[in-house]
Amino acid sequence: MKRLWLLLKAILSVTGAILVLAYAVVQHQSKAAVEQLVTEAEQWEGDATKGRYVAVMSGCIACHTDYEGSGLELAGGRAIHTPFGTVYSPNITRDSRTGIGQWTKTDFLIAVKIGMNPNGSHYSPAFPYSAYNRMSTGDLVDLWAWLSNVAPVENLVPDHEVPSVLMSDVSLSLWKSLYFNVTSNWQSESRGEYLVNAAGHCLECHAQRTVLGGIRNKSLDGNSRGPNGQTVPGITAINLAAWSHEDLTFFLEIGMTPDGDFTGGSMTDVVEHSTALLTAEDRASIADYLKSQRNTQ
Amino acid sequence: MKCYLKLLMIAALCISAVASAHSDATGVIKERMDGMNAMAVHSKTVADMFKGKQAFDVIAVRDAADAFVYHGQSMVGQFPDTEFSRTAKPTQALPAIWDDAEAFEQAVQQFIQQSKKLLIAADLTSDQTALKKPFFVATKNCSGCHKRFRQPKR
Repeated sequence: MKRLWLLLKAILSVTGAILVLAYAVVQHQSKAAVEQLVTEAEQWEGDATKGRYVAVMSGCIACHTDYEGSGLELAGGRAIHTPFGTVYSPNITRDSRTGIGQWTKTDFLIAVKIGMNPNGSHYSPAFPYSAYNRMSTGDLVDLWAWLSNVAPVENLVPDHEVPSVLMSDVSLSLWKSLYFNVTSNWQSESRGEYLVNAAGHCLECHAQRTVLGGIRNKSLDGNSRGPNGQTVPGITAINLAAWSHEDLTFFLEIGMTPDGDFTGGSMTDVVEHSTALLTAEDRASIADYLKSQRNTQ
Repeated sequence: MKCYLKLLMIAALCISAVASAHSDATGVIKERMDGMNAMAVHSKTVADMFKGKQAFDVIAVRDAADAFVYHGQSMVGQFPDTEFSRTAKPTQALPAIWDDAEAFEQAVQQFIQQSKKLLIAADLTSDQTALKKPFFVATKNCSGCHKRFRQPKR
């Protein structure tokens, strides 16, 4: 019995040490990344018109609007059911009490690129900062310029229905230490790759996840446990072998598959509020990337 | 016209693969699935013309709009609130159709109205560019309805 107790104590100590270490590493890396962002943020002046387009290509409007509850644009409250519980998208209008009215440009950049709240706590990975971390600071400053002009909407969003232990800073630090590279210097090789992997954050739904909710192998090969319990199809070049370039651009424009069927589920919102509103050139870039050898992992 | 017929035949063959999965369907479930398949054939035909895979033929657009209106109107009576209609395999219908019947009815009526506008447009012009928008507007209802009222595909 004494041995068992000692073993349990040892396991708990090692686990505790790992958590503390993960927390310390993530805090340290985040601090360095924040300092870099503060410097970068000063160099950019945002363009609100371009920012609206960045919001479209990043899916901000689709996720932060509760269409089913007839919510106002960007006022949050949309429920997303995940294997870990239900999360509600936040209100990102400039309302100072229920939205992000008290945020600065730097707060916004830190939230989107580093996944940290202005109070220093970490966001859950339901917020796709792993992908947004790869977005250009210029695009995000434009996005902030547009968001700053959006009318404030008072809408108090429900708290996430996720076990509090999973939402603690220590747990989220561990998650970040495993699955999020805050200091990534990833450069997109093409506009299409940028739209798919950074702004469009397609991996978030179209990639398999580990039991801890991390993206398994950064491949768009589908996910049988997607958001809201949906099976999300694979969209690697192999999965899309039977689709022509025109089939893909047409799908991105109106949600129609090559056999004449129409998409359903959450992809409907992605098409309606994001890909359908992109320029034809950007839809073509996405199709180019999805059909390329680069997208075969 | 020959080209259009060929295209329709190929589309029908493609859809028959899907239809075979529906061969177990009976009664209203078969009726509504057949209606959906017929609309998919027409949608594909028109879409292939917009994609440049086939020469544009306004008659195909008119036929598609006609089919959308016909099957849309039929749809109203194809979802009775019965145990069979709600649950018999291989239905893909979600309970929201009956639980939020008003929204479903409204969505179907909107589809019919916008399909009628497409029909009128196809009577007035044979310009491909001019017909793209009303086709998009009418078919946007398809994914809107699938999102709320059809089980996601596995």
